[in-house]
Amino acid sequence: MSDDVYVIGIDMIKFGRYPERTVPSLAAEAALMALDDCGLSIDRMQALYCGNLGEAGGMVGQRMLAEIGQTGIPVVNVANACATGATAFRDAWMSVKAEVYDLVLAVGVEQMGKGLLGGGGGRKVSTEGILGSGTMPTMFSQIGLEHTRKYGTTFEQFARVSVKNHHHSTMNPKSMYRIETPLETVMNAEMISYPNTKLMCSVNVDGSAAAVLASEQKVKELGLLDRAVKVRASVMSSNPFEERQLAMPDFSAATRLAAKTAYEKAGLGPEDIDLVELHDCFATAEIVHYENLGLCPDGEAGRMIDDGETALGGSIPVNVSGGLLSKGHPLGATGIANIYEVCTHLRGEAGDRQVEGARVGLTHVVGGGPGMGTACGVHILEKT
Amino acid sequence: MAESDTAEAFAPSIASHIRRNEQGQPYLAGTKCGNCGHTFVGAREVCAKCYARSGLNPVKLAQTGKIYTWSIIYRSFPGIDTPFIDVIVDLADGAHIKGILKGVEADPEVDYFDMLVRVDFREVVPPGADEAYLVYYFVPLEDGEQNE
Repeated sequence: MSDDVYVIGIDMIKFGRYPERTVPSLAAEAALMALDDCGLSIDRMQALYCGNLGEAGGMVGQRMLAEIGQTGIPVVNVANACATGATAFRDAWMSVKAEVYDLVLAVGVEQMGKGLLGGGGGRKVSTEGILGSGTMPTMFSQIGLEHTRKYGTTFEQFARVSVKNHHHSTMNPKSMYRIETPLETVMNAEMISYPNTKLMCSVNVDGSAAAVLASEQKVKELGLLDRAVKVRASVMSSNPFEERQLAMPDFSAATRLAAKTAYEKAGLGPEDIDLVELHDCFATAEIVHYENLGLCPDGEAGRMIDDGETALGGSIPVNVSGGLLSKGHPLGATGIANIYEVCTHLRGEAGDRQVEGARVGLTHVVGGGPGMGTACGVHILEKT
Repeated sequence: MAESDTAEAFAPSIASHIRRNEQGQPYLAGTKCGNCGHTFVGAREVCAKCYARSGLNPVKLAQTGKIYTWSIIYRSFPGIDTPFIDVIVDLADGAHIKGILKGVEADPEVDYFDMLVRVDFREVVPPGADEAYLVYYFVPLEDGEQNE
C-alpha cells in the first residue's frame, strides 16, 4: 500500500457572478490561490486535473495554464455533471496514490447563467410539459416527496434546511449570498416545484476552487505537514440498479454505495465525522442525504433538522459554508469548494463558523439528470 | 415522404416507447427480462438489473397503475404552461414511468400518493413544434375500472 495522500494547498474564489471573466481566468485565479496557500509555484506541479462542465470540449485546463504558466505537464480535462470537481480531485488523488506523481494540481471551475437547469433527455422535440418535467427542481422535489411518502416529512421540515444553510452563509465571506431567510420567507417564496420554493433551490453562480495534492514523503520533504490535511478516503460511484431509476433519477443508492465504501476505506463510521459538506442542490436533497450518509437512521432526517443537530453547534454540523443553497453551486467547482470548506475547519481557520475541535470531515457531491444516470463523490478528510 | 400509408395517417410519436399496433392503436412499448422478470419501459437488448444478454422480450406495457411520487411544477422552461402535476407511476405490470396527471386540480394539499390512474393517449402540438405528436398523459382511474 502506498503512502497517504495529503491536501497541502487549497482555496476558492468568492462565488458570485462574473460575466466579464472567462472560464480559464476563473480557474487560474483559484489555482494561483491554492499554490500560494502552500507557497509553491506552478512549475512544481507534475500534472493538472481540471473539472468543468460548461466548456467540457474546450480544453479549459490547457487554457488556464496559458494564463499562469505553460510548463508542459499532462492535463486531464474532466466533466461528470455536478460531481465534476470531485472527479478532478479524485483523479489527482489517484495519480499520487498510484505513485505516478507526488505533487499535482486539481481545479474545478464553472461560469453559469441564471435560470432552471435540466433537460428533456436529448429528444428532437421537447417533451417538457408533455411527458412530465425534466427540470432539476422537479427531480429533487419528487425525491423529497418520496421521503414524505415513507416517513411523513413535511414541507416545513424541508424548508428548515434552507433557513439553516442561509444562516450559516452569513458567516462565510466567500458565499454568494449572506442573508438570513426566516422560515416564513422560505416557505412563502415563489414555489418552483412543490415542495421546493425558490429559496430551497441552489444558486447558479460562477466560481472556482483548486487544491494541491502531495504524497506523504513530498509533504515531509517540503516541511508542510502542519497545515496538511490527510485524505482518508476518496470514493466515487455511479447509480447501481434501482427499481425506479429510469423513471426518476436516483441519487440515494449511489450516495449510499459511495458512503459505505468511503467509511470502509477510512476505517471510520458516521459517528467519527465532525462536519459534513453535502450536496444540498435542493432543500429536499439535504434531508435524504442525512440518511444516505448514515448521519441518522432511516426515517429520522426530519427530526434531525427539527432538533438542530445539523446546525453549527449541533452534534453533526452540515453545510456550515452555506451550502449550495446560499454559498452557490458553480457545477464544476462545487466538489473542490466543499473540500476547501472541510479543510478550512480541520485547519482551525474557519473564523465565526468554525466547528470547534473538528478533526474529521466528509464531503459529498452527486450529479446527474433525467436519462443520464448519477455520479457521486465522497471524500473523508482528517486533520494531521 | 416514402413512408407507409399507416405512418402517414397518424401523428408521429414524441418518444420511441410510444407506439401504435397494426390497427393504429397506441400502446406503451416495454421489455420484460426473461431471467429476472423486471419490466422496463422501452426497447432494450441487455438487462440493466441482472445483466442478462438474452431472453429480453418486447411487451406492451400495462395501461393502468398507481402514483408512487409526484410534484406540482409551477416554474418550467420558458414557453411551457404551468402548473401541472408530474407523477411517477408504478404500472400494474411492474414497470415505472413518468408522466403528467390530467383531469384533476393541481393542489399541493391533495394527497396524490397511491392514486389509481390509467394511460390516456392524445395527439398534441408540443411547445415550439409545428405539428401534432402522439403523447400520453395519466388520468384518474374511473369507478369500476381495474388496475391490472
